Amino acid sequence: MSKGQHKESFLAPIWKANPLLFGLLGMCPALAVTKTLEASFGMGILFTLVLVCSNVLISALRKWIPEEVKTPCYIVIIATFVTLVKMLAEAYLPELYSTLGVFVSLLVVNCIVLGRAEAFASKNTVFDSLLDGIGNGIGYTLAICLIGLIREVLGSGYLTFGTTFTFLQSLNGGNKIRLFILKGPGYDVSMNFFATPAGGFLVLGITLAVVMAITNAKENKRKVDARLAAKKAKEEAAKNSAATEVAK
Amino acid sequence: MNVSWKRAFFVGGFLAGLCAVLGLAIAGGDMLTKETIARNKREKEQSALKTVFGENVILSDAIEVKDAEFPMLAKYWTVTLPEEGDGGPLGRIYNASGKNGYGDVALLIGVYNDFHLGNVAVLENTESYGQTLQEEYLDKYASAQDKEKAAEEVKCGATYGATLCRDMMKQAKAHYQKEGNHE
Repeated sequence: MSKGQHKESFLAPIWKANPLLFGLLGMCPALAVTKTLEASFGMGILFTLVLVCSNVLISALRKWIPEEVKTPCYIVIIATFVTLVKMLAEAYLPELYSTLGVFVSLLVVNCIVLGRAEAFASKNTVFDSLLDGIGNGIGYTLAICLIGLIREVLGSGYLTFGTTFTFLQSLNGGNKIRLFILKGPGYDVSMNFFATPAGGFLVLGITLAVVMAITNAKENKRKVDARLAAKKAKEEAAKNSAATEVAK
Repeated sequence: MNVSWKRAFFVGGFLAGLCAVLGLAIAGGDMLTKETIARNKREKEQSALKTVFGENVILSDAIEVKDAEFPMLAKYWTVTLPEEGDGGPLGRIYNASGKNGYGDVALLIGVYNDFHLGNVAVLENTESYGQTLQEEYLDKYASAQDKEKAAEEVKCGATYGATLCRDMMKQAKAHYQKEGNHE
């Protein structure tokens, strides 16, 4: 792989091949744990850890893993990293662990993790798989954080930090940090509906629609620019040939 | 040896080796984290114990529940008031836990000496419907005047989790009644 391809395998999943926004993969945790920005970020970190580690190990073993049992091997490897990440979260980030609950364990069957193992890590070098894992992890984390941000602000009216990552409370004298946006003294325009599962579906749907609209607008602009450039080139060519005729 | 047998041995050997290495990794992770996890649980339990009957009570040492009739109960503490006269204990706090298809739930359940339910503290709630269980069942239970009635209101959007909690409470009550009537 060239340097440009390395860059592409890292950058593409962050936006134009984002696993959630364009691949529509990993929807279950994207709906279930995105009630707050902090929980979404925590899920993103754990997801990235599992994806990077499993991608690297699967890529390192790709020449030895027998074709007949490759899927069981991938699942065993992914399950191991999920178990390790779960233990670490339970020990060092207990609030995050209890917030995410069963969805940490469910990373074992996350289609992005298994999909990247099958589609990328099993065919590429360790370094490329590492970049792909980091890129997909960042892309997925950004996507669920966007949904978490919208849901928390619309649903509760403010952003809270320090509930899941309790060490953040030390920045505010042992209290949670709260940024009032749609709710505050004398005003409250928050809508609790967005904190509910139905609100999660709505926010995800609208986010996907906006992302598609932006992508389509960019694509249309590119097509129009290309057509205008072609038209201009044709006119130039016609003008040049007319000038040549006159000169003759 | 037949080629297909060789291949089968290779595949089997590879799987066995992979599982052994990954198993060792999990064992290593467990060794590294189990003390911290146990300490976190102890700390959480100690702080949760203060919320069931309040801070101004005296708790006995934890007594293990070994009765097979109550599989959800792990241990209990007897609660007494500091200036207690001849009224006997105020009640008990039970440590109960259960599992369903959606995750695990562990509670501290307060039961008064007249066998009525008291406050409940959540030690663990990793259900996929955990938030709904908390908001629609446990929070409503906490604010209810009639705890017995609130415990039975399990149709809440997280019915399996709520049923699990209700069963834990029932077992705690039944165990206290069984032992209390024998005392």
